[in-house]
Amino acid sequence: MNIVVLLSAGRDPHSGQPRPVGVELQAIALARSLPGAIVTGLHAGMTDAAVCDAFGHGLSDITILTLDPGSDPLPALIAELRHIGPALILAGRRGQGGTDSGLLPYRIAHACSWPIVADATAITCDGGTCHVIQSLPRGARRRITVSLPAMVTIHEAAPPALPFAYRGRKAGRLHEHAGMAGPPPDPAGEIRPYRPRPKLIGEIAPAGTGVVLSSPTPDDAAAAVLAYIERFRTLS
Amino acid sequence: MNRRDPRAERAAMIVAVTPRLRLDRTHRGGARTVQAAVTETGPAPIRLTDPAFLIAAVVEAPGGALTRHDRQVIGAARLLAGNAGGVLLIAPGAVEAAGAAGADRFMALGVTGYDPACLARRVARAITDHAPRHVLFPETADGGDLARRVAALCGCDLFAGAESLTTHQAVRPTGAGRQEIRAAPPWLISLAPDRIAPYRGRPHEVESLPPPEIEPVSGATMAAEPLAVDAATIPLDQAPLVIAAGNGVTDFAGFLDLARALGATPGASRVVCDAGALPRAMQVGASGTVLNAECYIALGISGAPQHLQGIGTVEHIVAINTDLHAAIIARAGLAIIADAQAVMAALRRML
Repeated sequence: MNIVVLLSAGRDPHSGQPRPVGVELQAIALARSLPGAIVTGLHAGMTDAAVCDAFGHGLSDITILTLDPGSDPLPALIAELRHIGPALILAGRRGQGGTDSGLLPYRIAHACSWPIVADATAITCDGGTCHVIQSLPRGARRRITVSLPAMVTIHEAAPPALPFAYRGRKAGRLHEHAGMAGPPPDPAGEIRPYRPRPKLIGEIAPAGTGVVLSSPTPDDAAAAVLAYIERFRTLS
Repeated sequence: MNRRDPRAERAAMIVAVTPRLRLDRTHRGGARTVQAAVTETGPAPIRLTDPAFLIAAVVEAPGGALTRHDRQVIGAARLLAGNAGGVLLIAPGAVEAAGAAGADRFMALGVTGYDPACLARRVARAITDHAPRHVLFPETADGGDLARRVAALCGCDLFAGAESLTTHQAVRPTGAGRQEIRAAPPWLISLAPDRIAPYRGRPHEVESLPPPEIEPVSGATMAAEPLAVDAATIPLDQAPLVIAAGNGVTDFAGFLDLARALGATPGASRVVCDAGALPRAMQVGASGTVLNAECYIALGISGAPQHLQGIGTVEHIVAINTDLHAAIIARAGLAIIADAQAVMAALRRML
């Protein structure tokens, strides 16, 4: 089974140095754990140290479609994916290097008419279908079955990435060829250094407004607690 | 000589009793003025018959109730709409109290169950038909997924995870969180949580709009089912319901049993973790885990400041403690002055 992992030119949030994106490395580990998987990496853009570092985390082949900086990678990626014909395409839930919006997997899936499943933590494939465990907020999980080929984005709650191996980094095979560049996207706006902004504080009832039960019998107390929890469960 | 009757004088001054006592002191001792009782109703809802433009807010509203994030999205739409524009609320199903949240128009798309591809097609059709000036989504797991599907369908860029939004400028992080993009608000925007306050003004009158007619397409999603998750395996900072033991608990095996029976994630106070009764990973508070839970049950916990920091954002708190003057009793929505050990035993019997 051919599996393509989309790689992006990640940056360290503190130093700004090239660094692979964590969820994409988790995607490599997840892809390698599937039986009979042939895993390759795919990147469109400049040759980047962050992309090549993925060799050290368990990838043996990476294709880089070289594009001018700032051009749209969508046409090049679609052409290459149609050429490879993979059964499964994995991506991180938010790539880096572009505008970090996490939109590219959706555009590829829409252009190729593949189903897309977001935030996967586990994948199993049988025949032409794929079962994906999706991570939801508050620790909830959902199982989704889709037909192959499919695009799946990987969540941070997936199993950890393989540790870096220097031998793998040196032995990886890099295939570079020129990609079909799309028209550069509209100028996004003004780019500035990030400034943290305050968040809204949660709405908490002021202190001393709750119900106080003084010395109830244990059974009354237990019934009150259960009723309160029931109400909270129906509210949320 | 007549003696004064202050009670009768006061009774004569009463104009109205409901909704509050009103006295007419200018007619001291005079005849009671007869006035129609003023029935106080809420402020009249704002009615927008012909809005100059629309701002669409696409919300999740699980079970028909707007979440906190949904209200913030409608609040942001209200902000962009101003007085002239209208807010078009789009949800998969019916929504309660849409007018109070600030919506002028409401469209239920009639999508039940988990079918994001169908939902995205309907949203894309609705926003193409009504041509709102901006479309806002919540940047949640499912809301963000829907926003990206709609953006791909419309062939449009998405301003993902906006952290600041005004009528002339939107800001979102980029470049691995090292940079931010500032731009005029684009067409499709998804809003990060807790950035824009929900609408608190006068309620709006809601007019329902019919959902777009769209032919059903068999999606490639064959099945979707929620999985039962063992609450004990959920990381403490993500758990929705946490039960924690403090110094008032002595039977820790029973406590873990109770947590399992309630479907709650177990936690502990610093005293209990220091004593080695429960692992350090369970510690709630400033030096342990800061919770994001919706409901927290504190058994025998007095509520040291460092512990209260760990439950700062929790809305529903149940405290069971023998000390009426403990700090956690003031913080709790339901406080029970009793021995935690005895209540624990009763809870285990009832479950």
